Amino acid sequence: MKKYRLLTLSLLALLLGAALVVMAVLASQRFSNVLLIPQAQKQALLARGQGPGGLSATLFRYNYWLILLGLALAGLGFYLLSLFNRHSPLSARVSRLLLTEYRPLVILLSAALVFAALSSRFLTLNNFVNIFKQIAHYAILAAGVYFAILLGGIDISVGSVLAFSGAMAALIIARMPDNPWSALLAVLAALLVGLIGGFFNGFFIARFSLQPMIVTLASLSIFRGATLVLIGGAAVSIAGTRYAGSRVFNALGQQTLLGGYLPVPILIMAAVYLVVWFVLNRTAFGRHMYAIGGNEEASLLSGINVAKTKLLAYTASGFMAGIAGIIITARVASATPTAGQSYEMDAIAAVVIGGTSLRGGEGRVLYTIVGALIIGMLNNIQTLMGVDSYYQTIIKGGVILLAVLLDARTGRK
Amino acid sequence: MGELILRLQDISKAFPGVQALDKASLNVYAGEVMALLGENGAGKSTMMKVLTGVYQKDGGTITLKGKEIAFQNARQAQEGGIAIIHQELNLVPGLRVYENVFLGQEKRRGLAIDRRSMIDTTRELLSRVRVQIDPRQRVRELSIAHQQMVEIAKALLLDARVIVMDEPTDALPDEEVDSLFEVIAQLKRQGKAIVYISHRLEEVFRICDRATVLRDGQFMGEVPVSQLDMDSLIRMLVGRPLDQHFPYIKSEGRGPALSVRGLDSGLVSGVSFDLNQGEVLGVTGLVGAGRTELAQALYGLHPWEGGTAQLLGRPYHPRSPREAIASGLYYMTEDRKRNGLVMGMDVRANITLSSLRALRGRLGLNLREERSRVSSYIDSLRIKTPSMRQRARNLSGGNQQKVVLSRALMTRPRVLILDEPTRGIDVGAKQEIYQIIMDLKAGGTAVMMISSEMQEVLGLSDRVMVLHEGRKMGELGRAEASQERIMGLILGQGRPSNTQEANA
Repeated sequence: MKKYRLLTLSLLALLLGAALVVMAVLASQRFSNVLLIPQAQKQALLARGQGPGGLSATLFRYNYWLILLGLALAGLGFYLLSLFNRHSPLSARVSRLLLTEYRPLVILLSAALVFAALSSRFLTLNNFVNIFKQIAHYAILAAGVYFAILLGGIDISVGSVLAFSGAMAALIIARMPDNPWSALLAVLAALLVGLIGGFFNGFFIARFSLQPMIVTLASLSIFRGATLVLIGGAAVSIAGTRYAGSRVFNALGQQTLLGGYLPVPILIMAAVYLVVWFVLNRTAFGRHMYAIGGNEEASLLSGINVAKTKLLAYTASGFMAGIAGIIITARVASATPTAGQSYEMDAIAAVVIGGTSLRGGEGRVLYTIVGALIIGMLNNIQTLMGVDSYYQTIIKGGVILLAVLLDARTGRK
Repeated sequence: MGELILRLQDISKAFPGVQALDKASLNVYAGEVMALLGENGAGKSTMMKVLTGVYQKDGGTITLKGKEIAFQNARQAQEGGIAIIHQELNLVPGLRVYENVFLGQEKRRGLAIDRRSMIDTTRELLSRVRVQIDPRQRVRELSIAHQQMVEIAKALLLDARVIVMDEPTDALPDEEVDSLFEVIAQLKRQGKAIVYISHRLEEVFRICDRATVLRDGQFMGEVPVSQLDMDSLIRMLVGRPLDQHFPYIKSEGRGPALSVRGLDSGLVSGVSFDLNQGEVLGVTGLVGAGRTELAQALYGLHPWEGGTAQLLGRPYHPRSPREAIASGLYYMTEDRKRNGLVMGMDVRANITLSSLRALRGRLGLNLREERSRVSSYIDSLRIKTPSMRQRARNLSGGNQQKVVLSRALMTRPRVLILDEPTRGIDVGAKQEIYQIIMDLKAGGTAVMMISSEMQEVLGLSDRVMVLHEGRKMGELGRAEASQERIMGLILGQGRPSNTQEANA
């Protein structure tokens, strides 16, 4: 019975902590201001009597400490839960669900709460549309990288493939200024480039059993170089009305639907994830990928065509890079030789923060969007708060490290 | 007779469902080689794991030089003077010989590592067993035999009194066996006590002084080798009455399912046999006799260098497991953990892994059909699992085996090759698997059952085929098969083999 009391206690701590944080967040939202402002400014705000007084004002006055206390309580709850993991089946189930199955969601939720307290501009529909718009392209890249990581491999070439396909698209539109069909041709060419790039990786990985890390490192260099050969050192601009195809093409990156609330890149991202989710969960190909990532030898003995599955998976990853290349080129209406540089890192980070095991065979692709969203929110809040972009990079690295650490500590054996 | 240095007395050890050791004993004498013999699963390796503290014993005593000991882990055993040389050597291939010998206890001179003195000591240790190896060579460049010498040098550095060798000749080519035996003779002369575990009985007569025989975890006796001959040794090893009930049913002759002629593939050479529908063909032999290699060649995992085969009257030559399955042959692996199950996937996905093609619906997989097929297998094979979404790693060994078996059955194979189908599972699950095999047989499936368990082979097979070093040694009908005859064939008696000529 004692262990159930302790389980109740830890759940209580969790809930109380979460409630405290939520209340503090609401209070600071009420005063339409941010958490981290100087004390004097805070007092001035209260004195001006903005918003209703009473409880909210009290909470706002102390919200800094309340949030810390709430987070500490929630952390304690988690710690207790993981501690009693082995002692009772019920707490084991609860904590396993929270710490492994739903961990990316838990992180997303807590991050959203804390960020909302840091800036009143964070928790708004416009801002979230903005965040989604910013993550769309690398969430698409991440879906491709997810395939590679699911197989127990990796694909670090996606940034370069993205650049090459974008450059190809821009070049076609720029070279066919009078033909309105150039937009369609550019899209097809960019997708084809992506397919070829992915096939290149998959061919060497599957046919010769080479290390995915090394093969994609090589193609990272090859496709970056190919981009430079194709368009030289300068950007290819397709902005303005000089080119017949540019209006339709650029719409793929800039157009918004539903009164400005649904940018086309978000729509494309949603479509990509819908298809990927279906492939992974409802087709033999998807099952085969999970099986190969989990146990390649057993998959071979079960009659799975391992080489073909790998080839297809890496080709798909290249195809996603092609889609992302179109979106990025269309959004800025130009192709640069350095486009997508180090995007592979953001994509891998999204997959890892989304709880996918780097050992392969386990993961959920929809959590990759959650991972991308967490990174997107992190970038967004830092921009809102005016954090130096140099420091942003350092903080992102720290978060990735933390995610991997969490995976190792609570990972499924 | 040497001094009694190590004594394991009345050791008992139980695992869930199995009494692995039942009051087993072993005496080890200084300057002698003691053979520890027994069939697979007789308890030899459990005994050694109890000795080195990997397992804790349930009962009995271990005395080393008159003092009672109970090691908690392998390191303590090492420090206590007991060294084990495992089948899979414990060396770092990229490091040099002396670095391996001194791994974890490097000599230092100030902050630096004292290379010269380590090299000299290693050379001296190796010369003690009269082996010429350059201590500065990298281990990966050495032959397996020389790598074993490096392990022995490690044992000597620790000044081990007792050296346990677990199947040391299994991985050795014949010509290197002799040099290992010379080293063992040297160690004997230096007063080391050696425990020699081997399946190869002829080796016992060459280098061992005494033999201890275990059977089903029980102590069968300790005999000086001089008082033994091959026949009496075999009787000690296998001579037990049939203590299990095998649900054998008589086979009704149906047409041939698989016939193989002169198959060459890797280790397997010139194997021919026929397998009929509704028949169980037992295949046995030592570990390394080519049983698994034969099965995997027939499954398209290894290229054929020669020979032909027919499956259900059609020419059969698969180039991948996928082709084999499509032709109606399925191979169930001997090692479900390594290459059978995908541990992180659930029971459902593991069962349907080979038959997803049959589950194609209008849009993607037909999950409803999948669920109903899986639950019918869970029912009919009585797989104990809380749900079909349970991950495979959470099931017990017997239930895991049934999951792999379900996967095989779902492809509706006409020829089913089972490789050690009851390895590492408890008695109850064994019986259930025997019954499934008989049901398959009654349904007309041709079953080829590879097994090291003599009782199982005798109890279930219509015919028994024995392999030895990749060749077929003989085939016995159910009526003529007996433990002694099979064991004779397993050990390569009945016709001169190259090994025995070389050893003579």
